[in-house]
Amino acid sequence: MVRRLVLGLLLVWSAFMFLAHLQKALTDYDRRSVFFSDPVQWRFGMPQIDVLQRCFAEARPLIPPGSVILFTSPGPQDAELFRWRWAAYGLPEYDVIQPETPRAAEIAEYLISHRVPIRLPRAKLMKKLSGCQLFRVQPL
Amino acid sequence: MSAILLAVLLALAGRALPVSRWTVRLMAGAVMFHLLLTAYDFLGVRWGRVAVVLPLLVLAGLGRRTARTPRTARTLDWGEGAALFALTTFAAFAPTLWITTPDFIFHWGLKGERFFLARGVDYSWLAKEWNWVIHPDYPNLLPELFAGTAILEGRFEASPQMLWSVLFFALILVSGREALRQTDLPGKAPRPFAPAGLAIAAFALAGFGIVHRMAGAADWMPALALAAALPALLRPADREANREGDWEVGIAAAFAATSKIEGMPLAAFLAGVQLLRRREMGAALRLGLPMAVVAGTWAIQTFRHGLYQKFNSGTFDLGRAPEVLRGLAEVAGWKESWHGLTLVLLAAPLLLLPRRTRAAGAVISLQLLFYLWTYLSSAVDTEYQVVASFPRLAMHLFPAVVVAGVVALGESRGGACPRPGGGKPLPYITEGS
Repeated sequence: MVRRLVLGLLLVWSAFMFLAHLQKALTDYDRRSVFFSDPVQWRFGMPQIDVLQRCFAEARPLIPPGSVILFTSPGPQDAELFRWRWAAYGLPEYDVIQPETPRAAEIAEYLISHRVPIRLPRAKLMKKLSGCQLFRVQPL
Repeated sequence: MSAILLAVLLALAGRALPVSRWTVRLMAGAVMFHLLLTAYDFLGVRWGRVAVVLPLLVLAGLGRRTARTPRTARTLDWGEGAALFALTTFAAFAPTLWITTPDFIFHWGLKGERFFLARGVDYSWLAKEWNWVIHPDYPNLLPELFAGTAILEGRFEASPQMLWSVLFFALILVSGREALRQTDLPGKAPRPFAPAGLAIAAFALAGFGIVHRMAGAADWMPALALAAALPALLRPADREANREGDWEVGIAAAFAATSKIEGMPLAAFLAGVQLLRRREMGAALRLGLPMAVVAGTWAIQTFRHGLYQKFNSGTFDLGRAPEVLRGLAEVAGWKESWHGLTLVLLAAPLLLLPRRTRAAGAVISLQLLFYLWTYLSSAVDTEYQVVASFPRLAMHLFPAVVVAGVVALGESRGGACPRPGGGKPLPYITEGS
């Protein structure tokens, strides 16, 4: 009897967990086009990702594969880190680095500035793209 | 379609080894696929459609036909129906990418696409100093499956790659069902609890997989390795049929070793515990050889290219225990992704009590102790590491604890091991008897 009770309790518990999580996921999914969050929680289908993907689609024909791209997206440290990782995923044929990368200024060949426009003495603006700017970095 | 095609090819290639369960055949095929691609990397051969498909077809051709086991028509019991519902729900969500794991972006998927573009494991890219964030020293089976799918497809798309998680989830449930049904023999078998066990594992995994965003994650693979080894671990160890059981555990161990870095100790525990029960040279080879080849090639490539990350482990310090406990208490909370169900893992040591579940209980408990050891040796913020990783690590063990727990509950109702083919139940056959 005790065994049946334990199993019954676990069954109800797990079924409740499943349904509660399913309901939350469905609610969030329905709101995905207006679902804004910290970059740590970004998901495919969010507007922020669409902006990044448009930027990368426009930048790709202008940058030779294998180039080193410095991706900047100033903000709180964690947010900047996770936006950089999304950029690396979106540009797998390149070496995507961030400003904190050792020797970043020496090895960067291109620079993509996301969200916040920047000015760098060695970076020459190539094109303004959707949601970002593309620069050619002059060698040292 | 390409993910499905590759999965079928892997399952067929797995027939080259003497195992009859399709779950284990697919895992064997995946391990051989990994070793094949690793050999290509050593030889400098670029991955392509012919290079990937042809050897798998040859392996499939080498496989011996096994006699069909007569099937009796039966309907789904309520536990299987519930499991199918939970799996279908996860499967419907996964390709939308809404529940894709962040780790697919941060490393697994990125590696898969990079390897697809490079037509090989891009070791020079992994070794770049800024790529410490992508765990360059992790075993590569999952990115290789992603790359293989993309090679067959001709392009890399994230959505079809999610099917691997659906497949692994399905195979965990199939393995759990197999482990529970092998006790479904005449006599005092623990049958009445089996549907509940399967349903609990399925609901919990699906719920966690959806809310914690586990599509595209590698954590399904250690969970599958452990679940797939359960039927062999739950069988008495001294029967002639255990030759195949050795292969099953050996392949599960190798699969764990190809999946994640924490799969390496799991592989050692699986093979080691089964070897302690079997104690014969042939068993040692069947259990240890697949894992040794996988771990050996991984070690060569990792250290040759300088990929090992020092932050994987620090110095063991019991003084970290309060932080570890705080982290564990936090993730065990009602509002967290497991809704407190991780507390079930506390029952793992109890699996050591019934003889039938002792081997499974030993593997699960050792792996749990290993996770605690890594937290006590943490080289980074300990509490953060526990909160960030334990829910995923718990997933490796949860289905096995539930399935073995259900067997243990039933076992203590009967405790007899029925004679194969029916007849009077024998007293439980013990090691060495």
